[in-house]
Amino acid sequence: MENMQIKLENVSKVYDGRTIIYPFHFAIQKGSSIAIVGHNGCGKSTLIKIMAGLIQPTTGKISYPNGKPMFHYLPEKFYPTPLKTREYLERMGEIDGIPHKELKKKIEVLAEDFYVSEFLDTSMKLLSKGTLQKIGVIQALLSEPEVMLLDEPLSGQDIDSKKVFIHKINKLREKGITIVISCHEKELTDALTEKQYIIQNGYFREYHEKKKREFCLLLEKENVHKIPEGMEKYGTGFRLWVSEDEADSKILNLLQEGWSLKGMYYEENMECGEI
Amino acid sequence: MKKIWSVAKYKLQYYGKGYTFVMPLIIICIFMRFMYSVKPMDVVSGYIITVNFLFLFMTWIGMTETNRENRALEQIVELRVNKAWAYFAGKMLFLLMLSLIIAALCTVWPFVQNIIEKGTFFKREYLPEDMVNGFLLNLGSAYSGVMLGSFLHPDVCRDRKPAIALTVLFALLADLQGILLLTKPVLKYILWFLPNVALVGLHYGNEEYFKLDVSLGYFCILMIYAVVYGIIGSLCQYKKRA
Repeated sequence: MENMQIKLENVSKVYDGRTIIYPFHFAIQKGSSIAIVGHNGCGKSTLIKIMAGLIQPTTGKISYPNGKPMFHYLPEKFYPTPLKTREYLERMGEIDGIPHKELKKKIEVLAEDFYVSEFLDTSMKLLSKGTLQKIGVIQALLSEPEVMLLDEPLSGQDIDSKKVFIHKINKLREKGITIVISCHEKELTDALTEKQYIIQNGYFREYHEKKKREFCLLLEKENVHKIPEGMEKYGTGFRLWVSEDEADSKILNLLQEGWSLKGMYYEENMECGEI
Repeated sequence: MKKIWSVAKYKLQYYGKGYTFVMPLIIICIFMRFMYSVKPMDVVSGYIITVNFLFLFMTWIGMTETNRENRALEQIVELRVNKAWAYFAGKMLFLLMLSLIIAALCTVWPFVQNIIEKGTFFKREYLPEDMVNGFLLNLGSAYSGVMLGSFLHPDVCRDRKPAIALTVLFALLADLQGILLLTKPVLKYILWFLPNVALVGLHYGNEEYFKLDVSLGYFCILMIYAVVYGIIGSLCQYKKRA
């Protein structure tokens, strides 16, 4: 109880007669880092907003056993304001109570970290989607909250910004800040969270991965008259999907047949396990 | 307190930078220009007409501002403030600041007009008390209007058509309440929840001079209505969030 930060009791959500989330109980411990996964429209954003008290659940209640924590929130879609980027971040920093000089420096540092320094004096309405999302991330990182709510935080982000983001969030985790992320990217959940939960068909439960990996082989060969079964044209060469079990033998056979292996990557075929 | 001020400052800057104030400013300037185009004019009746217009005008401002709110951006601010009451207080303060600006414009306009006309615009001498009384009445009318306009927030009434229709109806009833009650006094039991803006005009009637205690009284009544609308509206928004 001492460590419990957010408690959801018999919480459910119904919109226009449709049950988005069936009643469930859940508690988030202080300093924990969790991910909420699920298909588009399953209720991840709704659940995050319920946790923050931004929307009322249809049944049940949310409580904060040790007082309502300070939340910082990054919505799924971060909208532009008529303000310039710097002005907006300054206003948010003022609400946080950050002293002016310190705030100016923080904005400069975060803008540089996320490669948006050149956009600080640009109107937010002129920014691209990806840049806007970065501004959204920056406003969430201006000061340290007790709980960070991140709804699809890496939507539209470039690889360098993703790395910076992961680094920054892990630094917050070290300081004991509770992280709640809703996302699709496995690399994010692996890098930032201890536990994952899924909303599937309206039911909220812990997510256990049943991994069946499939490898994609990128192959090349000269004078291919007929594309072998299972292969498909891919750029200047071909690609073939093989399961993890048969990958070794398949690659050996292909090499013996004169194929050249140009690249390889894997995807995970996820199934939700039973609790 | 600082957070409340920071929220109000953010919303005021958001409003100003969005250039949404341009059309309302044009409208109010056109109105004031026409209002103060015929001389010599009576000081008191000039301000009373403005008070009635300002109520309707600010109801429109409150309604449009509420419709314009971006929910996601507001949620970021509300969570930052951490206390819902402080967030709503910040919004109320922002609307008060907006009302102050508009009320000041409408108060100063006839004064400036009189200076331009070398003191001949009014039937009598324009006194400093006229500006004080005029400002109090304009501010009370403006703030109660803008708070009425923002009452039916999308969180309170999702369907905007009935929300807009009701707001317009309430604003008109409030402005015409004085005349309605003269013909049908029983309506006071129905219309009590609306500020009787016309009462100001009915009281002053053909008076040549303002009375500060009277103006202060109406100012207080209108401000109480405004604050009550703000509190009840905020509670409804908080409870009805979907």
